[in-house]
Amino acid sequence: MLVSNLGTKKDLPEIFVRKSSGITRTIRPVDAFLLNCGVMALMFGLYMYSVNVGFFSNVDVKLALIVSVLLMTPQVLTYSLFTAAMPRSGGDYVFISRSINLPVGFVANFVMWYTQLMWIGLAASLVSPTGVSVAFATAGFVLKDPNLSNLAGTFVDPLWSFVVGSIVIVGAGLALIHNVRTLFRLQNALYIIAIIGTIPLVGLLAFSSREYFVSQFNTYMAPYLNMADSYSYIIQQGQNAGLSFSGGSVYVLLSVVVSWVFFTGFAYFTNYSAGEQKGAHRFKVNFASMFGSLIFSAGLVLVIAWLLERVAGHDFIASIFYLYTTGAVPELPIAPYAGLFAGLLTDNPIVVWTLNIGIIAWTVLLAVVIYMMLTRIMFAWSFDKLFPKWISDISPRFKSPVKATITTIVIGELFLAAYILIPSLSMYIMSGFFLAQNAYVWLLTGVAAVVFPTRKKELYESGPKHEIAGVPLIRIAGLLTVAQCLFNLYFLLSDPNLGVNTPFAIGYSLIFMPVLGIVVFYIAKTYRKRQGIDIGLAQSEIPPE
Amino acid sequence: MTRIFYATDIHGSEKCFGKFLNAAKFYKASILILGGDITGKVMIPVIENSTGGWTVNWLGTHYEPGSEEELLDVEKKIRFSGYYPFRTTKPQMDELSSDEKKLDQVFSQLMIRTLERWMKLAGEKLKPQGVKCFISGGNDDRLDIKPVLKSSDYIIDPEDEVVYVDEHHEMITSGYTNITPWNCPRDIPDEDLHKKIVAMADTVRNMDGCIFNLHCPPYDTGIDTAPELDKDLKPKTRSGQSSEIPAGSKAVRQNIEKYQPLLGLHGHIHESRGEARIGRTVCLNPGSEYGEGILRGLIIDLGDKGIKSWQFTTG
Repeated sequence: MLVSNLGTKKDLPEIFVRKSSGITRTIRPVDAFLLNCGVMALMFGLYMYSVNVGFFSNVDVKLALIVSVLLMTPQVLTYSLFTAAMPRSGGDYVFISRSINLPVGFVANFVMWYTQLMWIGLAASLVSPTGVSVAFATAGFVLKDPNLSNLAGTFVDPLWSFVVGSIVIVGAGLALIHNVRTLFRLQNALYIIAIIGTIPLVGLLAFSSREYFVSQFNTYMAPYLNMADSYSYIIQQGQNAGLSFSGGSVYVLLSVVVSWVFFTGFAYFTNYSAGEQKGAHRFKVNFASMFGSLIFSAGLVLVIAWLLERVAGHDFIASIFYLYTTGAVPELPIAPYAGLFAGLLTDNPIVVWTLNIGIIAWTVLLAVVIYMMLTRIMFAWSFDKLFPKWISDISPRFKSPVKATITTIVIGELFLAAYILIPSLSMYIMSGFFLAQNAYVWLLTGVAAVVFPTRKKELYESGPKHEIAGVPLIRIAGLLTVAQCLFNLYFLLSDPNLGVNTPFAIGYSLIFMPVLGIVVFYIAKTYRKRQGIDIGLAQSEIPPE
Repeated sequence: MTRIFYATDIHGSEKCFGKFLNAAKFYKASILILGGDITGKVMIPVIENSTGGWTVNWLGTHYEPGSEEELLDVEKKIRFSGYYPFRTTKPQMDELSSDEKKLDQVFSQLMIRTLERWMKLAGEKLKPQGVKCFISGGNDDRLDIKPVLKSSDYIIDPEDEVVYVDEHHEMITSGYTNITPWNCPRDIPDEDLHKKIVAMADTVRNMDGCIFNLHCPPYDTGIDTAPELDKDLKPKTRSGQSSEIPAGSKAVRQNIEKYQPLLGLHGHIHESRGEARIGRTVCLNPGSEYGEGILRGLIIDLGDKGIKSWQFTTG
């Protein structure tokens, strides 16, 4: 049979449609693109830039970001193809449950849910030190108001970080409780503010000179370091602390590539709500929204990183972040993120506030976009009788999942507290998050993609086929995703600079999280069995013939 | 204990219908209920060319089957996706493109022919198992399918009647809904729907064990939430987001509140899968993903004293 995937012949009508009902999907591809961009928020990308340039100062972290984007392309391809084959809400839970089995699908999804709860705490904890504090610091500098400068120091304080983080977690939760639409409104408003704030950020960095930056920085730091050339002092101190600014090995470069995956690995979040997305059964639509957001977000970070290095200098940025994080120069008043450097380049208070409120919006956005995904996952489990029914209750008053949201708030607050009160533990939590994502969520999704065309032959063949030399593209993408995860895991477990290869992080992420998922699954299974319910039936596919 | 498997809104998907029939054995159910909207919406022309070959354009792919076997394979794929394959010629295609009435007749023929085949298949599969099977129309189904459903010697079309699903539980059924933006064949004003429900409910002997198999979900219960549409039937957006409204029937809600049956089985709003409680009545909507060949359903275990359990399924 002659089969062409190159498009239909236009002279032949494809379908006749009768008058009937039917509109179900409401998320547009552009919404999907924006949601994915929200997960890969600019400020987190710039935070990762600071971390990478500070701790891996002898390699080009911008080059590593480009390689990281290429590395994650198979993952995006896998999720795009899987979503087209099974355009349903639930994402990897559905893909893995169907292609492998329900327990494996649940454990992978449980790890995803658990790590994203940790993520809400982490994202919320960053709002105060990377957003609010920087806003007051630069405003204090421009307005020459010491009270504002002092406030900047206050917001680095753990207590205030907790308070601000709690406001974000509870505020976003209350928005969702009030109405799903309220949460989306909040998300859209944050987007607008964030994008407006990004314009002066880019503009100031693009149109300022190195000399002006050095002069402004020295003026800013004079009260703290009591010296004329703080800029050179910072670089010197960095070198004294052992930093080198070139000559890094390929191994170090590849470690940074893996570190960047923390940012570049999350361009696929819309697969969790694919059942509500228009055109989700089309691979190209999914790929455009996922890969598009990966390119856009990484591209924006790349441009700003390049501008930052042009204005402030690579050696200076590496040194100041390293010195601040390790506490080697305790006189540094606040976290030296991109907002601070850009804020020093203007004396216009309106520009400064616009810039900084934009930065705060980016950091808040990071926490907000996770809410919908978390509650959807809990809904899916509740429908499948894996979680208590009350989790999926919709409040008659608010028409929203109040109990699921409150559960998310409470657990998110616990992780926020852990992150702020026990910084060393929280570092492990953050690392464990990444390790578990690679080992259980992405790796198993890759394996599921490899076996999908064989184990679910009929489902695979019922959709549009994408093949290369007769081999299903999803199988190739799955294999590459598995390889990419193994590559990531090798570096995470072998390079101590990535902060993961500790007994605690490995035990927590590779053993505790999946075991907890297995325990939850089998408790649910046993409990439901006593009620006469076989939870294995929830996702089992009935043969059609 | 009686185990019911309930599904709805398969909209012509032969794959979902096959799964529905197999669900009895798969879930060990003794009763199958298909709640309406069983006919398809889209016809895919399979065009005979001048050399006696066939061409099909479907889902962005161009097929030219080289044999009858390959042609049947393509047609099966089309049926499995919820579309009707229609063997035709280019001149007939041109005629159908310009004559809505003729196109309508072809649709009716395809629906009836498909449903006749389905009824035969259902009897062959379920009769040996002793499974009771109830299939009724929904608001999207034309009234001319009713004779096909009624003529089956095995399948029961329970619409507008009070039937016993087992010896303890009665069921009333209606595929009619309140008026939708599409003006479907069984859209009627809520007052008329109210009259239909009352006519059946008033003759139920034991309301405590009764099932209301009403295609339309009760109004504003969370299992009737649908996108709000503008006059061009496109989803309305507010603040850049889709606006959603309750689209169920007030008559259905009012009568569930009044009669308080044991169970409400609903469909109609595909994306509003879920459960709701109105007084003592548990109302369930399994939703639908027929387009992907996925059979959304519900396993319901009924005991002597009420509902023992229910479980959503994604088959």
